[in-house]
Amino acid sequence: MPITVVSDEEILSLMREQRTQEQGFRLLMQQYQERLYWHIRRMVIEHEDANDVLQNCLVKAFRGIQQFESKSSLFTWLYRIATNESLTFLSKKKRRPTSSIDDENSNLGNRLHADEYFDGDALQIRLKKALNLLPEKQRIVFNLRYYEEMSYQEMSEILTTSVGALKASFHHAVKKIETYFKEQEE
Amino acid sequence: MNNNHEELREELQAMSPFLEVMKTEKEGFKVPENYFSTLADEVLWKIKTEPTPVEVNAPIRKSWLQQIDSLLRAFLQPRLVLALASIALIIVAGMFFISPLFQPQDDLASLSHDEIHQYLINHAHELDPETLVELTEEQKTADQDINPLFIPNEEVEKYLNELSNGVDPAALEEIF
Repeated sequence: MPITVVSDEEILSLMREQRTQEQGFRLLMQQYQERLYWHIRRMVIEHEDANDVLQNCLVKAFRGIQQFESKSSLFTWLYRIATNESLTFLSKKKRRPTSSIDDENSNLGNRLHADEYFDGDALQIRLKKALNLLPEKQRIVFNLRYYEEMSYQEMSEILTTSVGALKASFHHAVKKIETYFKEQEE
Repeated sequence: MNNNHEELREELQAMSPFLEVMKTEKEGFKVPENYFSTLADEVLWKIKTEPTPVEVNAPIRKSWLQQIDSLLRAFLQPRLVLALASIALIIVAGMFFISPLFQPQDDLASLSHDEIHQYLINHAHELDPETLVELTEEQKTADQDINPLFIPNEEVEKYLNELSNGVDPAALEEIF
């Protein structure tokens, strides 16, 4: 099915009418679902978790679209919901009794090896482990910049953080990842 | 996006050439087949079947049994139970020290004169003679202080003279 590019205004006007709400929502998903999915997946790692978080995010977007005031772009608003949902999911997961961070990180390696929806090599697993050790917000900054190649300005709007602070955060994340790889090699 | 890509590449080259190289490799995450093409239907089904969460601000009215239950639960909180037990302990300890029931008895007060007398006769040999003499002297002095027969005549005369000073002699004569 060819993907038609539709403007945010068109999506919003369709979704605000009861009669065309579903059509508008399908267009919204067609436009943004993949980017939102990868954003969430990089945070929660496993596909099943990413699927749950993404569905919650989209349900919230559908129900909250009437309150959306167009102060920011639709894309920024959706990314904010996805980021918050991911952080909520991770904080709930943290509350479950687990062992130390080191154990959790070695578990991550085992989980990725066993995951049928992951086929990265050993280097990619090491990178995921290094990312897992970063503070959550720093990891979000790294993912948005490194994988999604988002500009600092766009990131600033989503995360409501200054461009300077985001640049510093990305720099720290990169240095920490490098240090992790060096330590692993020793 | 192209601008962003170029900007990022330069940024990584300066900060971490290793991460720049890694970026060219595939990330490794996959999704199930047809995942994205069926997702919209799944989400719309979820929206239609799941009830919209309603925020209830009004307090839920509880039955009297539930109210007692929650009251008991509130009172049986470990911290509260410990605090109440400590207060109860302090009150009981206070009563123990204040109550006359727990005061040491004054055994001498309940003894009769005969019993004391008998005790002294039986235990006289245990008392120090000097102490007995001293006690007797002290008793005598105390008796003199009280008994008017032991007041010397000179003291009585002196007292009367003091009284008569400043009194009209004619009036004294009238009296006597």
